[in-house]
Amino acid sequence: MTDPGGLPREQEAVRRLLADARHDAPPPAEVVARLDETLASLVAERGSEPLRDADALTTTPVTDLAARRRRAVGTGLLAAAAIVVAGVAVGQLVPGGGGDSESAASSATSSRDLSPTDPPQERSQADAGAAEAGPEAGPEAPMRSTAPLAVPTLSSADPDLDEDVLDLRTRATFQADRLDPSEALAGCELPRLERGRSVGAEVDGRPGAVVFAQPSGAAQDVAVYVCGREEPVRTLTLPAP
Amino acid sequence: MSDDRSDQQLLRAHVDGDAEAFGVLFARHRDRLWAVALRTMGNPEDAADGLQDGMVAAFRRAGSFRGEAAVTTWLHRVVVNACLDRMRAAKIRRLEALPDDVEDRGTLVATAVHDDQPDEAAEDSERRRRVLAALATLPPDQRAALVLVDMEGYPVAEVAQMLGCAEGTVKSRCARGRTRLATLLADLHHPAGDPPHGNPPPDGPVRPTARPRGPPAS
Repeated sequence: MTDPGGLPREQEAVRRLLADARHDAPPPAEVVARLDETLASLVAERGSEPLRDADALTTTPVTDLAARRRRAVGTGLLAAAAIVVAGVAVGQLVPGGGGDSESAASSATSSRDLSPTDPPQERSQADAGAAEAGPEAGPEAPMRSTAPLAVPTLSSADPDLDEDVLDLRTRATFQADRLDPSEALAGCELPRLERGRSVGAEVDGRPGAVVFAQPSGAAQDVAVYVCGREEPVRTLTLPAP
Repeated sequence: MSDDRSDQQLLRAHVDGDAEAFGVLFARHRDRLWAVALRTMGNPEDAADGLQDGMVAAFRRAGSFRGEAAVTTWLHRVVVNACLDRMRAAKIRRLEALPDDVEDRGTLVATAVHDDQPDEAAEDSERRRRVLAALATLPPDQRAALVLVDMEGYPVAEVAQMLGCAEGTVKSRCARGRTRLATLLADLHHPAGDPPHGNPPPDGPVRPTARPRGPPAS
C-alpha cells in the first residue's frame, strides 16, 4: 500500500479521486454468461486429463475467442496451428540491444495464448538489476525449457502484417529472456545489420526473421527477411514502443 | 453452493483433472478481476475480452503456477497482462475507449465541473466521469499500476508481483500517472478559492503593456 502521508499533496488528492472512482459492481450478466460459455468449452476440450504445461502450447484457441479477433487469420492460423513445437530462434544481433526491452522481439502470433500470463514489458527499466527476481521469482513460474515455442508465421503480402509484427514485438518483450540466444537465427544468413533485435519466423513459407531496429523518436523501423536474401521482403514502420 | 477448498487447493485440483475446480476458483475472484479489467481497459467490451483472455490463459497455464505468491495475485497478473497485451496489440487509442459509465461522449478531460448541477450525486458522477476519462489517457502500464494500487488498494509489493516488475517501477509508474492526472484534474482537487491556473478574472481593467508615450520626465 502506498503511504499516503508520504505523498505530495497533489498526488494524494489524485489518489483519493482514483479510490472514489473504483468499480465495485460484478460483471454484467452477458459477460458472466460469455465467460461461463468459454469455460465450458475449455473444460470440454480438456476432458478430465491432468493439465500439462505443454497444453498451453499445443491447444488451439477457444473458437468464440478467436472469432472475436479483429482480423481474419485465415490460412495463417491454419498454418500456425499445424506448426507445433518447432522451436524458435530469437536473439539480439547486438548483445544488450540497447537495453530497451520494449523494443525487443520474439514469440509468435500463432502462440498468442501464451502471452497473457507472461510478465509485462518495462521490466528492464528500474528493475533490470532484479532480473534474478524476474519471472522465475514471480508468482508464475516461467515456461523456460518446458517446451519450445511455435514459430510465428508471417506473409510479406499480408496487408495486416503490421498488426502481426506489432503483436510479435509485444510477445517478444515477454519471452525474449526465456529463449536461448545461442540458437538465435541458427542457420539463417542475414545481412549484417545495425543495432536491433531479431526474431526467427517463417516468412512466406521459408525460414526468416523479423528485425526490429532501435526506435527513432516516435517510430521504429522493422524489416522482414527471408533467410539468405540480402534485401528485406517487407519493411514496416511501427509506433515506437 | 460453496466450496471450502482454498484457492491453492482448487488450482491444484484443476491441474490434476478436476473439471469443476477452476470454475469455482475463477468465480471466487471474478468480480474483482472484472473491476481491474474494466478500469484498465476503460470500456466493458474490451474489458470482457481481456478478462476472457486472462481466464483462458490461467486455465491452460495453471500447471506453471509454483505457489511463490497467492493464487489471487497470480490471477490478477494473468488478467492484467492479458489486458495490456490486448491494448497494445489492438493499438487502442487512448481516448477511443471511454469508461463504462460515461454516457456523454463530448469533451472529456478539459471540461470544467458543471455549475448547473448542484445535486451532490450529479457532482459525484461528473467527478467520476472526469477521473475515468483522464485515466484513459495514461499509458497502459501507468494505468494498470494506478488501478491496482490506488483504486483497488493492493500493496505495492503485491502489485509488483502482478505486473512482473520491481516495486520501484510500480511506484514510479504511479507517481508519473498521478502527476499527469493532477494536471488534467487540477480543478477537482484544488480547493475552492484557490484557482491553480487559467485565465484571470474577466472583470477589472486591462493594464497596458507598453510605457505611455510622452516626453521624458525632466
